[in-house]
Amino acid sequence: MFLFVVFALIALAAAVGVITSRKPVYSALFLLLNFATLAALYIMVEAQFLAAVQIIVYAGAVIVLFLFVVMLIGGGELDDIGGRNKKFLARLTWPRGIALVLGLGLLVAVGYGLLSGQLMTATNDAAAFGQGSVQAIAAVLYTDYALPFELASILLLVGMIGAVALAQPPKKD
Amino acid sequence: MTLVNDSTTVPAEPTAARPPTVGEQLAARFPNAILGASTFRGDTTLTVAPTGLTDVARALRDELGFDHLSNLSSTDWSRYRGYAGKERFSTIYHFTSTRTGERIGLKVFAPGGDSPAVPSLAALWAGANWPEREVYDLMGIKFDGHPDLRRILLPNNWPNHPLRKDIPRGGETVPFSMIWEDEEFQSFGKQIVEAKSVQPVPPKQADANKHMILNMGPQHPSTHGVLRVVAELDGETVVAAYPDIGYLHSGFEKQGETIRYKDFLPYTDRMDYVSAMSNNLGYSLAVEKLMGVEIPPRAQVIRVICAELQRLASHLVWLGTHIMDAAGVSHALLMYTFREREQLSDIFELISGARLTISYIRPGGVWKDVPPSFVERVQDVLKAFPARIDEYERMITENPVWLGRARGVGKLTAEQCLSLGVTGPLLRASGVPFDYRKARPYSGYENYDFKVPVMTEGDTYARYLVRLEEMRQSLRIIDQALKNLPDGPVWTADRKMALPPRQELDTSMEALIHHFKLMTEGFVPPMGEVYHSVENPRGELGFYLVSDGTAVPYRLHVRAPSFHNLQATDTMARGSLIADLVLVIGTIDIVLGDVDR
Amino acid sequence: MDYLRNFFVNLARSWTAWIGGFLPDWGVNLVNYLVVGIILVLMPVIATLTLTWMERKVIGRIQNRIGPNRVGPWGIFQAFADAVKMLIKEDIVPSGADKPVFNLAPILIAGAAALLWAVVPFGRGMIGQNLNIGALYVVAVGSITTIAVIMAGWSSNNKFALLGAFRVVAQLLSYEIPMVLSIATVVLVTGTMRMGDIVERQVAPFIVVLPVAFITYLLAAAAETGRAPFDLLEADSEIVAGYFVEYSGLKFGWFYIAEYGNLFAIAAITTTLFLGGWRGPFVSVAPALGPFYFVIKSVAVIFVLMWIRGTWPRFRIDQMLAFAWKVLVPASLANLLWSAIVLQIGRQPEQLGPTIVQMILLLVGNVAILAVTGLLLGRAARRYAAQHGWAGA
Repeated sequence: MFLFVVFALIALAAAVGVITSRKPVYSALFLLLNFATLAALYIMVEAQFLAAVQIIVYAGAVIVLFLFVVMLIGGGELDDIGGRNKKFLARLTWPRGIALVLGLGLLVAVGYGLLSGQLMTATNDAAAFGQGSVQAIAAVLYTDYALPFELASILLLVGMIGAVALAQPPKKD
Repeated sequence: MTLVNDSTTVPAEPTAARPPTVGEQLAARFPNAILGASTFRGDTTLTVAPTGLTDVARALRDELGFDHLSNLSSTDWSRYRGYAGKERFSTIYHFTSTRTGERIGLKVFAPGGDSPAVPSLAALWAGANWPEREVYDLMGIKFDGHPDLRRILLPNNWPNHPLRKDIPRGGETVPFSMIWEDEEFQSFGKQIVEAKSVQPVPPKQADANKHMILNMGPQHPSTHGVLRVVAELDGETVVAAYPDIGYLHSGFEKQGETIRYKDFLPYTDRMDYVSAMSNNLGYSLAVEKLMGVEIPPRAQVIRVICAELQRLASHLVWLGTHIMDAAGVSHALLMYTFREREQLSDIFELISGARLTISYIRPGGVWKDVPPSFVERVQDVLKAFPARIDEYERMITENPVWLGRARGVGKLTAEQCLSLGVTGPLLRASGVPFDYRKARPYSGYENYDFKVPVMTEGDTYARYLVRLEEMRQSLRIIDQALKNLPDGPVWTADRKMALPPRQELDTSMEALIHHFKLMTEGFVPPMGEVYHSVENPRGELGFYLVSDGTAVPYRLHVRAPSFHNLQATDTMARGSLIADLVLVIGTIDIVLGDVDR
Repeated sequence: MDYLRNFFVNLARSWTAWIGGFLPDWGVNLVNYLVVGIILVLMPVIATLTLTWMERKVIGRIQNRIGPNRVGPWGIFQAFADAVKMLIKEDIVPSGADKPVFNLAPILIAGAAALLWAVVPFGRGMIGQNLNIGALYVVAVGSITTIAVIMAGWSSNNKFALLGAFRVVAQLLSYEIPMVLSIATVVLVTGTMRMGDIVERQVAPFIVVLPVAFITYLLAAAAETGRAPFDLLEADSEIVAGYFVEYSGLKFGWFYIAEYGNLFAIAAITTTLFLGGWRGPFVSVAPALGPFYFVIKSVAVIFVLMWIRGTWPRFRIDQMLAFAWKVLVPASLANLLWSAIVLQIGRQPEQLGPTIVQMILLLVGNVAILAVTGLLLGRAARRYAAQHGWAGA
């Protein structure tokens, strides 16, 4: 429990760091810290496989690409795009309004899930995962959720082909 | 690999019913442009009106086959003894035919008094770009129509044009000298002093908004010295590469114009310091041509052996460092080649006492006869080297990574080579069988049986194979020379340059006076000008000498092969990756002492 | 004698018993964790001190030199002299650098190098933590290195360093795929991700059974750690030193430690996955021999990598990526597929490790994949040569 509190606090602090950092690179690095603490939390619930995948996919690939893009477009400090000097209402442009509404909606949903116990049903039996939950995840993924899994892989394939098509240099004649 | 046996013909002996010479043909075609012709020591020089220069040069290139602009230089005639011409400055162009080896010089007196200008040849020969910039930089002659006329060797804010005769040697104010009273230096040590002589980055042609400007050098592991290449990059792709030179410029030409002919020899060691022997040979031959002296056969053969040993040593350095560019310092080949080079350096030490700055071949012959063990030591080289070269080949030639890295990289076509004034192995790897040892034989090279390796691909790999084959051919030449090493003196008998023998001094007053004059004043060539070039390991090394009948050269210009070859960097590197740029610099085989002089 | 047979495990037991005499249980655990942690953190440092000396000697001999020979007998203390020099050098931070990131990068990279050692089985029962996802853990920790390299390259505010960081992204991401695929093949064949169990079930070294996976893993691992001929991240002749060009003193030392720690680690993992780990003659009698076999095998792998470094030119970035995507990935995918098929043939329900028949079938498939790859490569090379009009090839 003690470790959970420590990691949870780090994760929260990192999440706050992501949205308050003035430099995009710092945001990306805070996000990395956040992912790393999440991986630690996974390990604490005996889900080592998820933890490893979390690190490989998010730290190894997603953050790397974030950093890469940030480096490419220049990682300098952000200008005063938030318009800090303006009043709160004056800063509330329509994209921000939508973001605010969606964010609040998400919070409400999570809170409802926690309070009603909807998010807790599948737990309580960490030992059933065994083997870092590899077998458990595989069994569920390839039986109950086979169709969504295949759909996701097709989506990724389409994305990959699209990226290759977009990135192809114009043909020289 | 296609080895073409070279059969470039030597210019035919003039016969009774000879066809009109090139000079006569040109004079007939351009009666208004050709103002005069002179021949000195077999060199024909036509005087051309500035307005007709471009037409004459084009006719020379397109109709008469003089496709190679060997040398481009200039002279300030203001202090020349007995000079009565109107114009103070002249430029001189030496053209060579890569097919017949014929050469002709064009001299243009630049109108405009102290701020002269002549038409630029950069539109006809892209390779005229840098030499014209050099002339502008050092002599202050403007070239109309030049695409990018800036200083090249000296800093942008240099106050004068140092090769002009009214600029004393060492008398100029140096812009970055430190005067402690200067208030700019009051806080020295506490601040970074603004380096005024640095030219702005990026170069004006570069597009810094769209591309990344990467400054490679002057301190960079792969620029083989203090070369700076400003590379314009799109990702890792080289959009353009702008070599920036002059960091090692030491004013050798100005220096040479203040000391006696024989005293300049040690300076030649320090230009292309990887092949000092070849530089010694080139300079000695030019001076001997100016003096008109004959060199005894033994000295000639020794010279050939030394020059070819030097070619081996130079190619060994190139091979080791070139692979190092491609592989990093951990690659083993560098040490292997230096092991072999050690053997050659030992031979040079044996015959001259020096290993790097040799000064062994001198105007008039060679310094001293070779010691008896010389032959044996060279035979050791002949025995060991074929297996060693095979060893390198086993290590690299078929290596798939090396094939992938070298093939198709830094391509140059034969036309590009000739246009850029590129010579040496680069030119031969592009399919032009042009080698001064065959085209204009000197020191008796016509007596040796050797092939000029030629390949047609024109890429880094072809140049690699050409150089390796050249090493084998050098061994053949050395072998033949060693077998036919004649006995006899190694110093010319011509009293214009040779000291009288000791016993004559006791009996002859004239001999004593002559000895005294030679020792105190030095030998005195007649008035005239010559250009002579040799096949340096890197390409055409030429010396242009103007004598005003004193013991000090009036004008001394060096046609450095690295300087001209380096111009091809941009052409070779465009569109390739930054890793290729490193290989391109390596394959040119530059020596910065040679580039900057 | 019996004590010596399983010396290392017995030593650990005696140690625990001894400190258990005057410490409470949680104290014993704390001390033991601390000791193991210190050993793991020290591993990269020890690897650096020994491997730099070895590399210099090996490269020196390859280059026809003697190598270090002044500090101590055969120059074995050269590395210590270098370490002292590195410690007393000035620590320079470039004025334009992003200081927090610049300082964080060496810590992260050295930390990742130390973490890798947690799952390396030096002998039976001699493993920091026999994680149930050991093989995945290796990949996960490796991906942290990527981040550290990017951080170093970006924060240095140097174009050479930035170019190095660009190369890292392309290179490490590309080579992670064949690496994971070849590890997955081993995992599939052994049916476990625990590094300790992989060794236990490796009746015959997998280099004989799965040569394709071995070659792929070794090449990909060399690329991941930036060893020649894949050392484009720090290509000294092109981008000077790449991502750590601006580092000096101790921070540079951390990169150095990470490089050699990683080198030893990939050699150790190669040994674990493909060379039978600590297995060897008489190990069942005297398990204390295990670590010696393990180190000998690892050093052999390291020697091969050094040998390559001394004699091969460096790839170009496009060739390198093409090699990963066009050669390594298809070959290892085919290998994975073939392994999956073979393992279904005559499968017993509680089978641990492959049977003899399966191993032979695997070998046949691997040889076929090697042959096809070689054939296709040769054809491609000839076609490419023909397109460019090159004779021979």
